[in-house]
Amino acid sequence: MTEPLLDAAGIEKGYGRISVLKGVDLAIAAGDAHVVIGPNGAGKTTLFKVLSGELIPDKGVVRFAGHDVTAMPGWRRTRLGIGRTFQVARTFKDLTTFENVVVALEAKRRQTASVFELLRLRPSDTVRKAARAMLDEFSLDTVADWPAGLLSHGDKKSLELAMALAARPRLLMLDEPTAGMAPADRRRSIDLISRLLAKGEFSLLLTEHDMEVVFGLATSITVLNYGEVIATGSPEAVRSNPRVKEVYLGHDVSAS
Amino acid sequence: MNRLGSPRLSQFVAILAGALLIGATLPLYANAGIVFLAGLVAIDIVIALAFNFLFATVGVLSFGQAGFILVGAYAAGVAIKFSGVSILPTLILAGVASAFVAMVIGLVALRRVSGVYFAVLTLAFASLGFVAVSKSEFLGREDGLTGITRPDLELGIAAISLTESVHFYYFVLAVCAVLIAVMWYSTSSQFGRTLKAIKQDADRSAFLGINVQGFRVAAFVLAGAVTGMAGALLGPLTQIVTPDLGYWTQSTKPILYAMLGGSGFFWGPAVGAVLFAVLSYATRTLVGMTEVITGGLLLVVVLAIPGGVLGVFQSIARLVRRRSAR
Repeated sequence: MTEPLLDAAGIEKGYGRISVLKGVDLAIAAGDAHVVIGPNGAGKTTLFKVLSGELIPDKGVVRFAGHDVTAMPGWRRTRLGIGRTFQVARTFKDLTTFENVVVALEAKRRQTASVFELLRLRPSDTVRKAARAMLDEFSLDTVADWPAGLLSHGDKKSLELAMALAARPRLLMLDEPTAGMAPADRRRSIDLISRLLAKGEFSLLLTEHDMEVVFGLATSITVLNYGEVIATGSPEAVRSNPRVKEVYLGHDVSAS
Repeated sequence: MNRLGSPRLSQFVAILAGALLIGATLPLYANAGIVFLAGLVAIDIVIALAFNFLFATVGVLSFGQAGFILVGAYAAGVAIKFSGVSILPTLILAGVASAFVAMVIGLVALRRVSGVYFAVLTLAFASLGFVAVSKSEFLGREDGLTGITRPDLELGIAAISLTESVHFYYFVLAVCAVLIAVMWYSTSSQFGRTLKAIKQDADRSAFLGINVQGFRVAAFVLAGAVTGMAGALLGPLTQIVTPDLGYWTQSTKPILYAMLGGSGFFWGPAVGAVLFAVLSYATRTLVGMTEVITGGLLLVVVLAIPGGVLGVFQSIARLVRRRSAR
């Protein structure tokens, strides 16, 4: 078996006396679309923060593509190839949609660009072309010159996704990508993610509440409950797992 | 066309050239006193632009910019008094010295704190510098360094004497123009774009692979170096360097200029500095009134036109355009 792309082992994290994660193990193979689910307060967001670099765990090790990234700050992880979005989409609201993508593309290029390109006043033609192409792909071309702060909720999410992908991540982490979306936007967003995923350029880790989204995208699922993994495996295996049914899926699926 | 696609280089060049033209022709009709003040205003403009670069582009409020004026002025003063180097190496030395100080402060302060705490910390550092210089025997204590001469401008093949006040004034204009161009370039290039992104959302920037702390420190060092080089001109211009240059009230001046002119505009602090100078000059004979008038003016600006003078102009321009569009 090949080494997983992301490998977290024995992750523990608490806030003060409240222990949120109690020894979580999680592995994502290259090409996976891995979804972490669990009831509210199960620790999904904390786990997400530990894996993305927003939080440093109290115990445990996070390895990414052979590197120990446990205590590595977020910007270094991003350079290694972990991209992420936030639960509430975060963009640069006073910059235009186009400028947002340009900043993201330039951040990526800065790792390899020549001094000459870095000192240019305007974004290079390559960056401008790439930005235009991304805006087209994400159906943001009509709002290219709007300040990002004026975009609709769904467009902001799309823009943030475009920015995360501008860094050409090997692993894309999405924290509840459809949270707070209208059903039509939600479907559009899922279509977009699965279309991008189909290109096979990155693996996916996401946390999600919506079961339609979970079973529509996932190739593997981890179920979290009170900071512990109670099941992990293929969607079918997880769905039929009696413990999962008992603590979580049973009533949630019938409720939705 | 996109705003970012074409940073308005031509507009910047036109405004800078216009300002230089006014500055350069000033000695033809104004008396020596006014020319001297104009040199001080040019230096003030650079210092205020550097402050506003930190405030409006990077998003950090530095309340200790006078500290860099002090470092630059004393570095230049010492170099001139004790070594006799020519003026350009003196300026470079002042820039390097203040850049180094800015780096140390930036690495300590920017890593730990932000917002108001950063402002207070920079104020503390600047006050520390003020006290240290005032107590230093070598730097002349409260009396400062007196009798600072104007070194020649050595350009490889020829040396130009700057002893004549008007010559030094032209030199000040030239240096300030270069420093202003540096500030504009830093605001408008990829560096500035990235800083604006960091200002709006540092976490989002970090997760795009941007070294937020590195960019902030670099910007702080740049602003410190530019401020120090502007400060280095003060000694030769006034022929004296005193600790008062680093007194905390000096740090409030760039803030005042930026607010008066409009901190949301690149040229805002420059407009503020010029307006303030004109106002001080006009009220110079009214003993004790200058402070009252400038204080009152500042109150009016902050309360009535938070966008500054340029903000008002912009609103008027928009109104006119809307009217004519009808």
